[in-house]
Amino acid sequence: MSARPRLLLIDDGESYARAFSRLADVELIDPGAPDGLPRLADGPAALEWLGRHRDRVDVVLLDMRFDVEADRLLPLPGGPVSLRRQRRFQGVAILGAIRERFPDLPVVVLTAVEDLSLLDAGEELAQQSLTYMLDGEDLDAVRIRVHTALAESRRAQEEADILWGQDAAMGTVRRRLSVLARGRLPVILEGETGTGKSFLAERWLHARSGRPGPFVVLDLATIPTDLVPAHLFGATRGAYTGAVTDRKGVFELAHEGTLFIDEIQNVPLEVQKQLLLVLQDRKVRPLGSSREIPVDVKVVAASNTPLADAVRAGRFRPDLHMRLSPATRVQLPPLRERPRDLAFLARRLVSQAVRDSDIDALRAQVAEVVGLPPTAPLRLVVGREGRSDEDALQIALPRPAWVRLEAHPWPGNVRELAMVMHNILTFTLVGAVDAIGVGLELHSPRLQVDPGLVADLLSGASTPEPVAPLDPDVFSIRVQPGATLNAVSGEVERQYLVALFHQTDGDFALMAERLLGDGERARAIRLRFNQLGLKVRELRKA
Amino acid sequence: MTDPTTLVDLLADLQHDLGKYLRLPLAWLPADADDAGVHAAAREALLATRRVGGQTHAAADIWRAFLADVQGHLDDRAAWPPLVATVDRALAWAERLDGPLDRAALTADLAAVGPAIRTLLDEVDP
Repeated sequence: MSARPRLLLIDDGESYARAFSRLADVELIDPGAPDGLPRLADGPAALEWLGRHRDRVDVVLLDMRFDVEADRLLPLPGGPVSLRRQRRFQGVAILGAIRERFPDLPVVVLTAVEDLSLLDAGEELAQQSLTYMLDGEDLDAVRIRVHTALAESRRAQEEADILWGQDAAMGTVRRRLSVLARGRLPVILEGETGTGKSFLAERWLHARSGRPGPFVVLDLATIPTDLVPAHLFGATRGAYTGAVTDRKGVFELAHEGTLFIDEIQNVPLEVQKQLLLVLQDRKVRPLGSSREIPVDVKVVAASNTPLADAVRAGRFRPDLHMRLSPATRVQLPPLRERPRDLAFLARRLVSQAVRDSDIDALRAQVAEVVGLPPTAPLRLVVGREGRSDEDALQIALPRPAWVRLEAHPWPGNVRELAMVMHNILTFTLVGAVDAIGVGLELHSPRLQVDPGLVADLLSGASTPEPVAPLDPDVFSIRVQPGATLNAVSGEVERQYLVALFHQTDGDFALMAERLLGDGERARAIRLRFNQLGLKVRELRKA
Repeated sequence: MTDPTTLVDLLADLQHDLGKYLRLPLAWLPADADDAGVHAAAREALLATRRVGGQTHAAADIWRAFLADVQGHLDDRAAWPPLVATVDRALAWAERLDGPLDRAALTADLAAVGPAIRTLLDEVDP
């Protein structure tokens, strides 16, 4: 990005062009318009120019009304309208086309939100990502919006870098999700823990859906099975023990928005039929109510195991699986299968860590001592890299430590990598601050990472493989002497069931299948849990 | 022409062409602008209010065209007389462009047109 933000003005009038030309701290792009003014006068001209010069623009300034010839107007969403209205709200049509073709391009709409009261799509317009309306009309209001847009755009770009990396596998996922975001079909996201399913659902699928409603999350790993129906569909007061007030379900809460159902494989079999009906009929009936509520919800379902496996094992209804549209299934590759991304992501995570205020403060302290400005960038270097780079505070990783990182299987994926890099950074900076505190002098901006630290972090940071093969023999049970044989055997059974609970991610049907050879007898397992005083809610929290 | 939709459209156009562009040049003026700057902004607001497609329309022309379009169909609306008075007060500044200008009063008068149009618009299309 150049020093001054580069603004492209799309406006048929001349007033904004003349006014913005006078601003010294921004660069109004001269796109070579026939009348010599630094702006493009209609949608087709702007889209054509952006198609060739997107990389020259940091922010678009877009007027709302365009008094241009009919053949220079883009159609408005929602069907034909009078020519007068098409002109008045032409900015909406241009914005839609920009969002579709250049989704990461920030746009400041040169209209206050309240001026859009005549426009049905006004609110929706104001809520689109990287789209900003004016709070006032003075030039400072425009300036503030431009700088907000730039900051958020930069942040979105950084997040996207971390999310997508550079590996071709994620490029394919990105293209697929970009298409699926705009459709009405449900989307199934499958991937190991830490691959970014919830982040993608919110920041990509919902953000690019153009849906005006909220993004609502239902994490089925954290909800007791018997409360799942109430969470999903809502409940009236008294519908079940403990329902002391009416409760809206997530479908109703997510109306006109996106519902993210995490760990959907945990939906109890007995609830799956109801869920299927809601998806089919687009109506939800809260527990205890006779009233059906129409809902317009885009569903994004996530699972850390292939749903097709759950279907084959009889734990997931095939008709529900079909309704969730397996054609829209997107498999997120684990980090260990993205060989190009480890180095890229590790470096990005270090350079972006200064967003953390603690890291930022440590960075400033160390930078000052070694003669760098407090905002000096943080850079991860490996082996002998970067010896001549004196402008950055370097976090220098010995080559053997890097090899160790490369060999690690990263079962927790990007989330685990982020945690490890954050810890490497924190410990290294704290070590430097401690050294300064005891009077040691630092002369170099190169901070050596302790190789032992990496080994320690990798041995402690890994999360267990999410899908361990179910083999009861692997359980380790510690027997403590008890007063009676019953007490001892009860304790053995407790430990066994707890271990099984964790191995199956709390899936009672799966536990029933393992123990009794019949997945339908989940209720019997639940009963045994109750008899032994095992609290499912606490186990899920653990 | 009594069709309420047409009246709403005409008022929305007026809001844009007159309400918005009467106030913008003064809104864009730096707080420390000198007299010449204030005069230039006032001229732009009143005499070159809407410049589009190579044509320049003065505020008075925009207002006259609007009056011709609505053909008296807004006369019985409660918010109509206040709007007429507000526009008259704003347009009267065009006669004083050669003399000293009270920036605060000028800015207030020009900025008052937009809200007056909005009030009438809300009455026509509640």
